[in-house]
Amino acid sequence: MAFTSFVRAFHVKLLRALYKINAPKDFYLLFLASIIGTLSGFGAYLLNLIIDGVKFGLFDFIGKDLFPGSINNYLRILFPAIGGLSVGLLTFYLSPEVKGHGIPGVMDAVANKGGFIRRRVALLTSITSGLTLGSGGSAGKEGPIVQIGSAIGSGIGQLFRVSQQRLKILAGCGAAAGLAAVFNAPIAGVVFAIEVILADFSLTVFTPIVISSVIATAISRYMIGSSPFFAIPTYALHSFSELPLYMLMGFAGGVLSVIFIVTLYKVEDIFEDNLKLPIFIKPAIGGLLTGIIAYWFPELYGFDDTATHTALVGRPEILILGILIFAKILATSFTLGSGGTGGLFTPSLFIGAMFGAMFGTIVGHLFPDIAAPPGAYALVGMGVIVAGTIHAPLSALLIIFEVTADYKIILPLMLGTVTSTLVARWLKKDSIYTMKISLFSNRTVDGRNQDILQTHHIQSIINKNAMPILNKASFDEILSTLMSSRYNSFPVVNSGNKVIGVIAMRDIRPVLFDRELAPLLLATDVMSENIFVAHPQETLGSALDKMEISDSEILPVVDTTETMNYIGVISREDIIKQYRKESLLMTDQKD
Amino acid sequence: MRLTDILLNDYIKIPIDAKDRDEAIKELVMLLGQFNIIDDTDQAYKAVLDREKIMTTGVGNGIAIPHCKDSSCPNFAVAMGVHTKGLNFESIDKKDVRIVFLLVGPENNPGLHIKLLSRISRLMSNEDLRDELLECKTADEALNLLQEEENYYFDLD
Repeated sequence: MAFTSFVRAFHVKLLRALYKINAPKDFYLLFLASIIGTLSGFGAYLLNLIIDGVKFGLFDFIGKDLFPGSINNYLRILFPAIGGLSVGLLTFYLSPEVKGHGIPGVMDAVANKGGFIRRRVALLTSITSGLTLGSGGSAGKEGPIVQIGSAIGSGIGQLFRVSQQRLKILAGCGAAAGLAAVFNAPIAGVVFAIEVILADFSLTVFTPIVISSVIATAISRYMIGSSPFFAIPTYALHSFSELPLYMLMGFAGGVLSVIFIVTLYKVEDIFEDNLKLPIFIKPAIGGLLTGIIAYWFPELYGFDDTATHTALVGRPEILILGILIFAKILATSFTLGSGGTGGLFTPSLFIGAMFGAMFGTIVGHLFPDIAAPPGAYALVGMGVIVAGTIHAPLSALLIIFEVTADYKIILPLMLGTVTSTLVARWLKKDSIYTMKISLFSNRTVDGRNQDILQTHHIQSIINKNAMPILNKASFDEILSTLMSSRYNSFPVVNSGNKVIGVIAMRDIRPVLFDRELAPLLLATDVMSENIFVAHPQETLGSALDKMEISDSEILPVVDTTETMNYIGVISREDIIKQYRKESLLMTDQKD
Repeated sequence: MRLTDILLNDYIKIPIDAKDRDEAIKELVMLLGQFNIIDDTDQAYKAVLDREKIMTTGVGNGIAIPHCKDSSCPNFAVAMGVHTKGLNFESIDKKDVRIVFLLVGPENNPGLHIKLLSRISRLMSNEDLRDELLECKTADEALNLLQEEENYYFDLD
């Protein structure tokens, strides 16, 4: 393709030019990140346009102009079903991965597929989520926009043929940019990408993601406006005796979050397994059910923020709040469980606001002297439910800060989000995202695919050429072995070739320049005892765990732990390389 | 931690009576053994000798630092002895050894082991201090000298 070959030629020229001017090493990555930020910012705007367009077409044009009067009210039941049917047909014929709430797909791509996302996902997700949300489906924009942003990031990365490592970072850039743009929340975007999508807090990851997030937010502010997502009064902690109440709310919120997660996946199971219908009909049925619920409670439509807003400004009625919590859980489960495309953040915010307002009203009656107004609890409640569903307290509290621009409520918010995350994790190991990944793909722990780590053995990657150091070796011999090798640590063996310890670079650093002492030291003096050794049948995962716990770069490999006969060395680097290759093989590279 | 935190005046013997290297090592091992610093003195003695046989710890200038990392020595400890005439440690400069530091410690802390060895060797590179130590008549005198000198250095960790 002409465009692709143009990009490739440009890419080569750019890299050579950067080298010539001695640019910072990750300058190229930052350049790509800024492209991704720009495209994702416009992507968010485009998504808004599609949603508003569909909504206008159905609710305003067909609803009010063509069928004015009472018919309009009944038509509202059908709108989400129409949206659902169109989504069903599109996903069925074009791309199955765009259905659902988006973020698990991105997490899966980053953890298991080296950041590879099909390019068409960006476009299709915009359309299907625009249809789902514009037709009234109960979901949010954030899941789709994160998916769109990541697909843009991954697409740019593929176009410029970056390494797997960088492809993941670029997918994360897109995710951050998307979230930042829809919520006008640049910090939350960055933290969400780092905490949830990449699960990698290193500095190399941080800079490009910040750049994407800043650019996308700026574009979104210019195109849409810069006021916070929810404009509400400022709330603060009323008295310190309130803190236990917030903690209690965190507890209850953790339980409610788990109820939400379980309901969503239960409904999804029913739609997927128990309902014997063509796949493209299912979202239509989900839409119809959502439409029926929303007939009585129009505030459940995904594009409608008024209920959340009302709860935040504090005009709640307990009964309505209680009903809305569960009605929203059901409506969202129907919309997304049946195959509609949309996000879970906004529904979590909605549920959290209702739950918090209800909790706040109750404690306001019980402890009128110490409790802040219910609006304050609604605010913290949003953080509590978001944290409980996505298991990411930092992202949850930052997003609340940024969507409400209320920084005074930090203590209750921190306490609530952490408590709720703990409780939710304790009740159910998986978050609302990882549960999906566990279901449709492989078990992913700490961003790594456990299926690869637990089924592959280290046998084939043992380095048998790595020379061990003899316990009698002099300091000079140790030094020369160290300098001529690619490892930073070495096993030490005795004259019977049995492994008796390890020498790491960090062990000998203190004496490197000690001219008097160094010549008198032997390997046996500077070695540390073995904390762990590996055997050939050990899995990649188990060897990696041992290295991570003992903070070592290599493990000596022995035939058995009884005899301790030296076979070779296995390094963390080799395990990671092997893991990446295996995970690449698992990736479906078709486009 | 400093060298003089673990080298107590009880662990300093002036003079030592040994007739040769092995006896000197044994004498200092037994000295530490008296204060229950070493769980198994025979095992520790053997470990120090084994190490000594691979390569001498006679660092020159009349100083030797025999040492071992062994399971019989759960805690780091240093003993010191001064010999009136001098012993043959097969030192690198062939000189007889008059000041012997014995260092024992556990197997799992090579970092501190090396730091202690390094601290002893640095202190003993001071010729005046060596001469003054050889003049000392009591453990207290020797310990005071070492403490004074060590005040110029930073703590080990």
